[in-house]
Amino acid sequence: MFNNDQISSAAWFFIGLLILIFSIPYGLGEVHSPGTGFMPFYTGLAMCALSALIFMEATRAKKSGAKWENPLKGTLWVKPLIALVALTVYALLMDKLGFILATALLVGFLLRGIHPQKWSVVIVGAFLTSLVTYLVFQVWLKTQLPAGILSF
Amino acid sequence: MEYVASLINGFSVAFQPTTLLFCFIGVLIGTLVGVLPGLGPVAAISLLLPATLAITPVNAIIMLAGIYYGAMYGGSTTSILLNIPGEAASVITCLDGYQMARKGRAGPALGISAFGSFIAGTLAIVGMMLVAPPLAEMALKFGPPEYFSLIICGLTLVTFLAKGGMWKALLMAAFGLFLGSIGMDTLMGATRFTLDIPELTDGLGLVPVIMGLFGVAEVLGNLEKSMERSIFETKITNLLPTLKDWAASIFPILRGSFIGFFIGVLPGGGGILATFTSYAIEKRVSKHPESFGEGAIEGVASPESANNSASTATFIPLLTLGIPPNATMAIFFGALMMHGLQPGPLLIKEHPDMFWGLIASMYIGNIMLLALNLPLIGLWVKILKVPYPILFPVILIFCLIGAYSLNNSVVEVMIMIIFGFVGYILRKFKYEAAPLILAMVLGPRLETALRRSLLLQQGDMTIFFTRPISAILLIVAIILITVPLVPKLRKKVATVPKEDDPS
Repeated sequence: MFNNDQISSAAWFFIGLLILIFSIPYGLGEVHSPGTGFMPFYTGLAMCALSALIFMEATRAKKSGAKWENPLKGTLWVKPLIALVALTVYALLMDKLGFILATALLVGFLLRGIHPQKWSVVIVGAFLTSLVTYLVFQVWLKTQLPAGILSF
Repeated sequence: MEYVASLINGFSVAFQPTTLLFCFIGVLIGTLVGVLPGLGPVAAISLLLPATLAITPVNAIIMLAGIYYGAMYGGSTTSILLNIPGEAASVITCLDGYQMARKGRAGPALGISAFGSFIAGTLAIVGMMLVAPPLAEMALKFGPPEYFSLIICGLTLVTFLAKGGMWKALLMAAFGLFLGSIGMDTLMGATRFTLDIPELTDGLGLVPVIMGLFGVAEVLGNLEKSMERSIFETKITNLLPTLKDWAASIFPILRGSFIGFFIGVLPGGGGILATFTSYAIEKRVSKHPESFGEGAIEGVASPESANNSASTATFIPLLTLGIPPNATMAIFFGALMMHGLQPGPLLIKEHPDMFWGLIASMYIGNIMLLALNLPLIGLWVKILKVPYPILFPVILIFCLIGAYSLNNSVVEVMIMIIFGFVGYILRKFKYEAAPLILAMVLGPRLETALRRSLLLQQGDMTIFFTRPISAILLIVAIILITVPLVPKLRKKVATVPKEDDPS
């Protein structure tokens, strides 16, 4: 079994390789006249070289006992996952539902779904956060927030 | 004499009622951010950045600067009363500050930290006033090769001081350079890696990336932990330190100010490194080092002074060379650009009102902070009692609004969420985000300097070594990279205090 640094460096090597390959079509140019792909190409190359170095160091560390440690072990990792999904859904529905409604729903969900609060806290928290942020950003700072289904 | 006239001009800017108001809002938000664990100055500044587009550039920069140095003041409160640093630069204050609170001396601990911060902040402003203009004059002589080497040296120093190993930090910097290259190639006019997304034509937005890596990732990291925290119940009395406290603290404050200033100017330097260094030096010079960690007032006075001094000094490389030395200054870099100001040696000449107005506002802001921190300490303690499960949805909503309001686009929000996830994973595998941000900001400038140098010299790479300043900077970078390869030196490097993610 590979250890944490071996796995992460292998992933970075792959990312570096992708950058390197996909920068070639942009044109590398010549040393006296570097092209659009010049910088990303050498950046990708540097990433591959550095991740190889990290992998080698991690391999040396493995011999001295550095093992795979599950980074999620002993954590409540489901909570950040739920929050991340909720944020994504919010971003997708924000334009359609409008800022006030989408924000109230998101705050209500986060208050109830992550570390469950009393319903009174959930309702008041969702309503107040949505309203106060709307007043501050839309009314005072003139930020253009989506009106959505409440546009009338 | 010229400085005095410029400073008077700066005060005429800073004393305008609206500027005073924005300075006050900045230090107030900064103190709040510093007090609240889980929301650092980087996230706070980046999420308020889009909102500043509605105000003048001078007021915007003054307010954002207020948040930064205000957070340094506020961070000490949670360290002393909760043993939880409100922001990363206050970690070391926990050691003696919390012990002082446990011994019934929370008042003097909070008092000396506020006064020390005030003295250090003021001294650093004087230093900045004296150092920045001549440094900017010198930087005017820099050509593309010097800028290329300066950025390489700066990035190397940042990675040298980063947590989690130098190769990992360099890898993050390389990835940051790639992210910075997304969008328009300014020399050729072609676009790259935009995936046909119009929002990416002008490049990947700095604000959504920072809010993702520092704001959202921080919240996600906190959510997976247990939320239990308790405030040490103590009566906070005698905020004014006694004469004995002053006698013990005055030299640590001066030493901390001095150390903080010099570390703050260095690329990769900042509050955290300054506090650890000043604490270590204080312990070494103390006649009773055994009392450190047991509630020694010097252990609070020196690091608290150092972090404030460093936070002011970090503005110097940004405003004179156009090189942000840490992630917070990278956001200021973005803020100046968003307001049509080019950070660099011409900034002081072309926008003296901004530069001297900022310096004058720092004097005023320091006085405001003193007034805010001491009499309102009870209020800050009450705010500390707001449970994190209620606080975090508000932080996330601020991040979402901040990202959306940049271009009124959901794409920016999605970018922020993606980088929130990336930041969370990076933390899990012990990769630091700060070098990534700095490289992303400096990437376009580095690329332009490199390509211009090569174009001018028809591909002759020796230009970087034949020009003296460029050669010195590159040699420093090479030394920094090779030091960890020498086994004996590697052990010594490992003992150097590291700059953490300043979320």
